Amino acid sequence: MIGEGCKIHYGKLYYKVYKSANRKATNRQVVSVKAFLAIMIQTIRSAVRSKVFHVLFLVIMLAVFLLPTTVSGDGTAAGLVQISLTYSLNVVVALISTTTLWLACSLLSREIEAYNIHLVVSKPCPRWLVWLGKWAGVFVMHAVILLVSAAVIFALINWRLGRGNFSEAEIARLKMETMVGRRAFLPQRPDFESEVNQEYRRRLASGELEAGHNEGTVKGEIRRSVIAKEGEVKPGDMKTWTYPNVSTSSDDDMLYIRYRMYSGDSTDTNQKMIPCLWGFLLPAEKSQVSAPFAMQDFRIAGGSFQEMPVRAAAVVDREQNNQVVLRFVNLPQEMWGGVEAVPAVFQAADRPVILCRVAGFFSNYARSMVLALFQIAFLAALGCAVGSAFSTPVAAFAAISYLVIGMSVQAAIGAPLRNEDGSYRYKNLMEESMHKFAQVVRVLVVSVDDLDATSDLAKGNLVEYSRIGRAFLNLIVIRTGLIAGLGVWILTKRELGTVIKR
Amino acid sequence: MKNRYWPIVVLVLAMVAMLGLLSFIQGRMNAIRVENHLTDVDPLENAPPLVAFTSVALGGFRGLVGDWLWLRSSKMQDEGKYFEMVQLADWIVKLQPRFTGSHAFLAWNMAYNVSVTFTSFEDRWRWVKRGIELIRDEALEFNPGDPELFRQLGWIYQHKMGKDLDDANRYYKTEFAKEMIRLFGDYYGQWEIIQKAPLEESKLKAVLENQPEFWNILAANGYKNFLEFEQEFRNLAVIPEKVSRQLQEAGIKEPVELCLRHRWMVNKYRLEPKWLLKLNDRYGNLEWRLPEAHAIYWAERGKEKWHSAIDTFKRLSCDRMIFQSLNNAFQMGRLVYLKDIEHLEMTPNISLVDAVDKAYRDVQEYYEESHVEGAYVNFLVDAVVCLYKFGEKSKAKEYIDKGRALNPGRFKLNLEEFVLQELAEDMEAASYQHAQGTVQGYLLQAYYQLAIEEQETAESYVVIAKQLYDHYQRFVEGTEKRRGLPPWEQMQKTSLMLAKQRFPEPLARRLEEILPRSDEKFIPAAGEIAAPVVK
Repeated sequence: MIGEGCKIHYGKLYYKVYKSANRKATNRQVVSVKAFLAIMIQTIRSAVRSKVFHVLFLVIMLAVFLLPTTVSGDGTAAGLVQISLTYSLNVVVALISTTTLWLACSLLSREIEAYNIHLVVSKPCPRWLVWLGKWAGVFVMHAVILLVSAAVIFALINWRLGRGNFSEAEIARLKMETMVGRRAFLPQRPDFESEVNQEYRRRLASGELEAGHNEGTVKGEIRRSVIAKEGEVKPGDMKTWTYPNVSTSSDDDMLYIRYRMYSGDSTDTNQKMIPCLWGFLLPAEKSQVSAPFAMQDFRIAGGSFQEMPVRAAAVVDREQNNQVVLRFVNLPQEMWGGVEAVPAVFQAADRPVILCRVAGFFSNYARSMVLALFQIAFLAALGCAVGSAFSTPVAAFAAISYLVIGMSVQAAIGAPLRNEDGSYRYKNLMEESMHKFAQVVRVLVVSVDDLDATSDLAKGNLVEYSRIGRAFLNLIVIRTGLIAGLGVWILTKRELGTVIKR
Repeated sequence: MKNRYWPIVVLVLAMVAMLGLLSFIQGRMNAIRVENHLTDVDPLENAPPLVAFTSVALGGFRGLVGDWLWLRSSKMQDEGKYFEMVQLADWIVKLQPRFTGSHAFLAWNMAYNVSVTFTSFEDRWRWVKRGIELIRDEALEFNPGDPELFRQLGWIYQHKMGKDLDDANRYYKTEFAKEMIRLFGDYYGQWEIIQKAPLEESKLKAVLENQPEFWNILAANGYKNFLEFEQEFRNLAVIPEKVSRQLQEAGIKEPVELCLRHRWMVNKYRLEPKWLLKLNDRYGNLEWRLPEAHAIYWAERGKEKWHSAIDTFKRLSCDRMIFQSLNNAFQMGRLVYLKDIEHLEMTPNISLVDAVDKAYRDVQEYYEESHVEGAYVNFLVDAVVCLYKFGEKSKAKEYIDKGRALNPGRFKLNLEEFVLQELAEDMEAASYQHAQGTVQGYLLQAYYQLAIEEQETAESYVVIAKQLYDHYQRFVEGTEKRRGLPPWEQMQKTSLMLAKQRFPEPLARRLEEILPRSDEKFIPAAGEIAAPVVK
């Protein structure tokens, strides 16, 4: 059978595909890169002829040129960039993903149904190469469309920004907060275990615990309570966070503290204004005062995201491993101006993080496009795999089902309510078991949402190389690799002669 | 042409012909729909092509798309992505142009919920403005006479901007006043002249007696058309200097500027000069640079539309807005000085007192219930104190008598005792408008006593004013940005200016003579008070 025992010589830039050793030497074929390129180019040509592609391409062009020039933000430069990025990139990536999936599903299956592929496989060309050529054709074509679209969107956003009549201060703020790649530094995690053990020992010594109690259960309860209290700051109390290794390229860099706190309870829809103090430990004044915190008063709306800028030079302690110490004080009842004082609650996901510029906007933009390319590569593989097995409509249905499951599972995982410590709060056993099931399915199925970096890009958050690396490993190497292997296997094993022409 | 294309060509031509014919009868069909009550709502008016197209083409699916946008808007708000909300709100309005309840909610959400999530006053003001603009520039465009929208707009002016519940309320007032000063220019208060100015370019042409001079000047200065010039005028809030000079030389500057300001007021701010005149006639001279007057304006326009029995509650809400805003305008409804938020100073508009009183009584009479009796008693208390503080003792007496007739227990003390008792309570929990009015009142009394050569009494009034000032400033320590009073020297200056304006001419002259010979505590620090202008 063609394709068995293939051997690849990378150094010579061509492939030699051997038939099994027991075949005659005359059947041995050398399939050059030309064969692969020929399949790829033929795929692109037939894709370009597709009417569905024509329509979608037209819509893509409209989205590329119209959206960045028509959507309007909140009137600020940052709002303009954020909304242009969010809408243009999301719509364009979604449309390109759709065309990728459709063409990947249809091209191979139609060639099988129309018996076109019989002409190819009767040539000295292994089926894995046919599959790979198809995949590469779909991927390369859409990668080019994506990159050109991304470049046009980038240029249009800059053009619109230039015509926007924004003040210099606003542009400066935009470049510091939005058109930038900011790394998030997280605070040191408190040592919950020692606190849990300490509390457990105290309860044990005081006789609060019954004889024969389950140590694990009690400690679990204590742990939940400790974690929940960790994010709560009562009126008159304060909380301090320490951030190690806040490395900045220069002392002139600005740091941004991003957080969200709730008044009283995160589920309370009637959030109050919280009078509070925020401050930093000033390393330069440590020798003069024991705890030189510079504090500033605020009234912050509960439940809203906030960003607070500070100069790195003032707060990064170079002698202490580039440490930053942040302090929050929930002001006592007297300062609440007649309103009943309540605790300030920081959920685990919204606790204060320090954002610091480590890359420019272009670099961050390019990184998010790399993730989009991964998505297209995966979708092309998924489409080609199902296209190898089924007719076009069934293949499209199977591929879309896979993606819908991925999205639904994502929603199912986030559905249960959470406690203040971040753990899930199940209503009943049924909900818990369904949630566990969703988590298992989540491991197996890829959600395209995982690769959406537009949201981070629009917020000025850095798309880390580590994230790209993880995405490459999980999505390209493992998932795409497995799906590609499956697709090649199906195409290789499929008896093409039994396909009935309609 | 190949034969197979003929059917397509014929169909296209038929379609064009039918569309053409349809355009002739559409107006009549719409009229029949209204006359025979064939639909719940009137056909959409003033809709741009995109809105008209989406409302027809999407049919019932508009609702679904609108729902999805609504959910996305809520999600974005929860995630702190406010930048999308203006666009989403805009689309929702365009998809559901007749669903005014949703427009009012979206505007309220932006002005109230989104604005307070920002710590910077500038950011907050932007969101309050977005809320106002969503109703004024978008929703009212499609629903020009919708009273629900009028009411919501009035509420943002009255409550969000007028009250002191938001830390940034003084910033809002300052910025709003600056905007209004730009809008009215040198024609503030001349509503009758503005009303007579043309609203369309063609009518301006007629006013200029079809002379091409104005358009020649525009062309000579590089303006492609009237609209481009108008845009420039709105950016600068004045006619560009060079053009202004040329118009002045041609003797046509005033009609041109009046036309531009009239168009700006009506087309952008939806302020009809005839309504401004009507309200001034009804209530006295309202201060159109402060939000209270605008709250009254929108509430009056809403009230006018709600006249049937089922609208009683809504009408009452408009009436409440009117008398509450009038009350605020009476207590602190004249703009005295404006430089920035620290220097924003207002003073009572005492001439409104009878209009406010009448508004309360009219409402009580109309609804034949005591919905507003409590509010009316509170107003009477405020009126007595305010009138007394500002030297209108006989008027204060008149109002305490009205109070006694209504609630003898509450007004049992004599005038002086009553005022002193109320003042003591007021300063403990006063809003800054109250505190400002009280301090100004004592300073006015001091200058009055000085003018009649009662130096000792005058001194005691100044001392009390200063004590009250210091007491209040200590009381609001920590929240000065929201509730603090203007600097003491400035308050002295403005009170002296008010005294000179308000006193009879001989008394004002006497005060000017006496002042240089008086104790230093009566003489404000050097410097003139600038009129409220914006550069």
